[in-house]
Amino acid sequence: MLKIQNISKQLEGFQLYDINFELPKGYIMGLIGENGAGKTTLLNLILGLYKPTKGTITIDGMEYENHEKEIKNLLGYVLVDDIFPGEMTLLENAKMYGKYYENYETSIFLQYCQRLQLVETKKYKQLSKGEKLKFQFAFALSHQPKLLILDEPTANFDPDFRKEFLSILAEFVSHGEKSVLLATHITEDLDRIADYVTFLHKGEVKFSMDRKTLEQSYRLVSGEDYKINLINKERIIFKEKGKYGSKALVMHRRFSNYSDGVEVETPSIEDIMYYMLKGEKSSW
Amino acid sequence: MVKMVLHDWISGWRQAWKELWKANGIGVSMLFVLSGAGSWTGSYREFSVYGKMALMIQLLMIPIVIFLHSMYPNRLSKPMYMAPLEKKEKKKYLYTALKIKVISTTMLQCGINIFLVGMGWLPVMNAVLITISMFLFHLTIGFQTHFIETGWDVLVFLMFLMNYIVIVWMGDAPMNRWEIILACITFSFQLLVCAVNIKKQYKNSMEKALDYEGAYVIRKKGLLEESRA
Repeated sequence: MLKIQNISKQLEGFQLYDINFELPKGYIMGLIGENGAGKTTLLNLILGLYKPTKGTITIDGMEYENHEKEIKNLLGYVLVDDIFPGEMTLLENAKMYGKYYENYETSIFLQYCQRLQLVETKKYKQLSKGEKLKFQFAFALSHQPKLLILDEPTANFDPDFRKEFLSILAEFVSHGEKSVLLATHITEDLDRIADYVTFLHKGEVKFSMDRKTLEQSYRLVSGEDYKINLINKERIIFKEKGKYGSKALVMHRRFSNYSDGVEVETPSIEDIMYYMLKGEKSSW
Repeated sequence: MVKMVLHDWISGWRQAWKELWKANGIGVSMLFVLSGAGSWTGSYREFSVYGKMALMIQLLMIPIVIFLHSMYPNRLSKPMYMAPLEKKEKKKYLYTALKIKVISTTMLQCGINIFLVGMGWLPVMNAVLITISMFLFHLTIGFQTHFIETGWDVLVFLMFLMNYIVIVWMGDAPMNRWEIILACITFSFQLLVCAVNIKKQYKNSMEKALDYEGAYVIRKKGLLEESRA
């Protein structure tokens, strides 16, 4: 569905450098990274707002250069910015912008309004931050996109709605024809639904892989410091010394052995991100 | 589309004022000072009280109109940049916005002139000539503020100066032959400036305004820079 090949983008004081990854149809990809890692720049490139300095973006087999209109018809978005006119009601906004999309249907928009508990006759400016994101989400779904691009949507949702939101995403990709790219800080959401994870750091991809491979690639090992030191140093991403022992993220292979007395667990996405960033800092 | 343009225009009102002041408070202040100076010039030319009032209203209209021109929309909103729109549809939106700005400000000017003529404060011929001059002024400023960073370069001040000449010298008395000649020379010059400006703006800035990066990111010193990006 989405193929990013050798994408570079030079902005003032920031650069995205040689980004490569692929998101197949029917899957959800989490895009993670610290603030300023380049997530929003990358999303802007995918949405066609920025033009890459180098490389190609292919969406459903098409490139922006020759198929901009067709590609934009396939994209739905939820962005953190306040981008819709505040004086207009939700329904007016949806109709006004929806008319540009081939597959927009007001009835679908109204269905999602009901499901997301939005009052379509309310003015956009009267909505809370979370409700504004819900509106964007309802609008994105109403024109039946094939690829949903979501930039930090869950941060402003209450816990109950977050669950509902994630279940709508799971539903969205369930037929195998549609995909989701979700940039988020809340990696807990990704533990629940992401099939692929791409980790951006300082404008570069640290890794991009499916969840299963990711889970098989790393282990979080904790125990007495000397026992952790027995692990080959090259395999250790970062070791954190505590009062009663140490904890380390290590690269894991299928037949890797660990000393007796150390606790070995599969790390969460947040653990991987945390230790990788720490490891990066300690090597400076 | 007209509704959307109007909406963008109205919703940007407060924001535009703040940013206009931030971008060029001195320029705005200067226009008000010049307006005051115009009224003072009027008193030298021994206009009647009503003539002075007409003059003052006309001159005060200039900064107000420039302010109106500086407002949105001089580019597309973000959802429009992300919508599946053809280039020509984007151009249509930008031109609709421009047309609304130029026509509405000129209409406002006409309304004021009709009022002044109706009250007997301004001769009809003078009002017509002032309106023509103002239309050219609006068209130039409209283009200027529509496609490039700010409306405050030499060209705009030149247009303003010519407007100033037309308005002050036309005053409230019927014009003599020399005043009509002066007005015609000024109009020709205004027309020339306006045409050159439109050509330049179209070539340089229309393409930029059509894509998001050009409209929001490249314009670092933009009057309404990044405010809706």
